[in-house]
Order: sequence, then C-alpha cells, then structure tokens
Amino acid sequence: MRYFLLLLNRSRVLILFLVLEVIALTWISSSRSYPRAAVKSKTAEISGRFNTWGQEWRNFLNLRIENEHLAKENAQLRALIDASILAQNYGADTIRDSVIGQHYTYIPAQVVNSSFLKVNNYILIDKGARSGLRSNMGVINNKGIVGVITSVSENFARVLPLIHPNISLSAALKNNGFYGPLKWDGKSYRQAQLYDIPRYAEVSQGDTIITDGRSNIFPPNIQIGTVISGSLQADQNFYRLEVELSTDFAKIDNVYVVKNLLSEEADSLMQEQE
Amino acid sequence: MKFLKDFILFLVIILLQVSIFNNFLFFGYMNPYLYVYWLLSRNNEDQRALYLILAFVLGASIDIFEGSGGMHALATTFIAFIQPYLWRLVHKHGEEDEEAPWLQQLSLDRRLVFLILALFLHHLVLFTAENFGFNNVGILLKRSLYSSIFSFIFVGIYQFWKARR
Repeated sequence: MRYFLLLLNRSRVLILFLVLEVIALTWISSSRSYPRAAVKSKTAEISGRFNTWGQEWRNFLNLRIENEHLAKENAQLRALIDASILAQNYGADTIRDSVIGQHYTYIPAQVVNSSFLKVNNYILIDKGARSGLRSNMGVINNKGIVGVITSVSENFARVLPLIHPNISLSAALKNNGFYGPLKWDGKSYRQAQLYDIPRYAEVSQGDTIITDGRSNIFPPNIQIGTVISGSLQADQNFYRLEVELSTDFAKIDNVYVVKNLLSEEADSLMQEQE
Repeated sequence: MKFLKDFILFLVIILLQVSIFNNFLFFGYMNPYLYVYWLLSRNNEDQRALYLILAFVLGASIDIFEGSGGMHALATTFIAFIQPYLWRLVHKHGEEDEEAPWLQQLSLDRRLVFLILALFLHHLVLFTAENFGFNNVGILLKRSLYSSIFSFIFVGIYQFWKARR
C-alpha cells in the first residue's frame, strides 16, 4: 500500500495529464455529434457577442462589394414581380392568391463569424430564436445554398455549412432529374461531391446541380453548383460527381434563412408513415 | 506582482489570438496559433501539475471563443506535458547560461529548433483532433507543417529581435 501511494505520488503529473486529456477528448466528441450541437448554443452566445464587434469593421470595409451584390439581386427580384411579367392569359379563370400559396418565407441575416478552411467549419449568423429561427431551417444566399441551422440562442444561430463532413443533402441534376446525396469530403471548400447518380444517366461537364423538394428544408430549384468531373463509385453502377459549389464560403455576408411554412404538416405526415 | 503580470499577459494573449490571429488565413492552409508561445516561453519543470492545468485552461478559453469544443485544450495540455522532454532533447550540457530566463538558456539556434518542434507537434495534435482521426493524412501533415512554419515566422522574428537587444 505504501509502495502504491509512493508510485501514485511519483506519477501524479502523468495521471493529471491523462485526466485532462480525457476531459478534452470527451468535450471534442460531445461537440462533434450533430444532434447534441445544442450544447454549443451557450458558447455561441458568448463568441457571437465578441465577434459582432469585429464583424462591424469587416462589414464596413466590404460595403462596396456587398452593395453591388445586393443591387444585382434586386435586379433579379425586380424581374420576378408581376409588373415585369407579361400576362398572356387575360381573362383566365384561375387567380393565384399569393397569401394562400405561400410556401416559403425568407428572413435576412448577416454572418458574424465563419470558417471555411477547417474540417469542421461553421457559420454564426446574427438572428436567433427571437427572430423566429429554429434548428433545421435552411440557409441560402444570392449565389446558392449555404447550410442548415443546427442550434439557436436568443440572438444568434449556428449554421452547419455545406462544407462540413456531417452534412448530407438531397440534390438533383437540373436537366434530367436524377438525384442523390451531396456530401463534402473535407478537401476543398469550393467542391462537394454528389453520390449515387446511376451509370446510365447522361451527365456532362458544366451541368447544373439544384436542390430538389425532397429535403423539406430548401425550396426546390435553388442552384447548388455545377459538375466538374465524375468517376464511377466502387460498386461500378453509380457515379460520384465533383461539384463546384456556387456559394463561395470565403466571402459570405448577407444570407437568407428559409422558413418552410408547411414543414410541420409534412413532418407529421412522414412520422405517421413510420 | 509577477503573478498579476503573468495573469494579464495570459488574458491579452487569448484576446490577441481570437481577435487577430484567428483571422489570418494565408494560401488556404496557414492559420497561426501563437497563443502557445505563452506556454513555451516558461519553465514548467518545477510546477508541472499547475502548468498542466493552466495549459488546459488556456486551450479551453480559445475553444470557447472559437466554438471548437476541446481541441485546443487537448493540444495545449499535450504540449505542456512533453515540453520538458523536448527541452532536454535539444539542450546541450555546459552551454546554457544558468542566470538567463528559461528559454534564453538555449542558444539561439537550439531555441529555434525547440520552438519549431513544439509548434509543429501542437499544430499536428490540434489538426488531428479537428479531423477526429487519421484519414486524409497528407492534408493533415501539410496543414500542420504550413501552419506551424507560419506561426514560427512570427515567433522566430520575435526571438531574433530579442537576441539583438
């Protein structure tokens, strides 16, 4: 016993070292799992407040570029309003009511902090539960898809970007409708991979990849990226496509959170089936 | 008084890391993590247990700001543990000046070797933890090497500047 205590005393540094490393490892693994990301919302509030301060400077410096983007987007939206569409079916008997037909609404938000060169990238935005944000809402910007909200605090929300190994998103080829999961292999922040496209599908370089309605998070037909190259998967029956993402994660500022007004209805029906 | 000074330096270095150095990203791979220098620059041989805990706290504070969940704590604790062994590995008997502060006991070239080794190991552990495994080993090594060289440039310049005075 005496010898044991002596041994314990001599190796106390080693034991302390091991204990601390085990604490750190548990912390890492608990913060990695996707559903338990809610724990992070506490630290998100702290780092959010801190980063807002730095972001104000960066916003100011990027004002001119951001303005150009907004002006472009305004122009695109202007093209969509009723006044700029030629009504060809005068006297038609159906009237589209935009209030009843509303499926998605968009909440504008600003990125306060983000990373894109790490493996586990993240984005923090300046709207939270107070603005009606919930986890599992989609986030887009004027170029394409940004990510999915994983946790929200009062004033901030943490977004799991497309460039994160845990994400898997249903995406489709625009011209023929074949779809598969879009994942990220952790190599380049400009490229993601689309899996499970059948071998007989005709795919060529430059084809557009869009969201399809299956995800229930994003509206359909939002651009994700374009095909760069493709190769057969190990099973020889399906293609794995390299996709150049249209969202440049190195410069994202203004984003829109997608609020699916019918998501609860769809979810309850899904659960009923199971 | 010395304790107070150390404590303030501790806080300042965390703030510098999260507000300035975390926003440095060059050529897609380089992100300097200079806060480790606080650990590397002091002798922890006499109070190893205390420095292990301090290292953990240092890493954990960076983690809270960065939202990176324990990775920095893991890496800094690791460095605090192996630091005395590393030091003994590079130092040469009879050469050191007993009066000088700990790090200055090594001659300049040995000090630089010690620093680059320690920085590289720290970055390697950090990026491995971030990756949560050894897949993409190539990228892992590349990122660790580039980032540690980048951190080393800052630390090295500081060492030269100190040596000239």
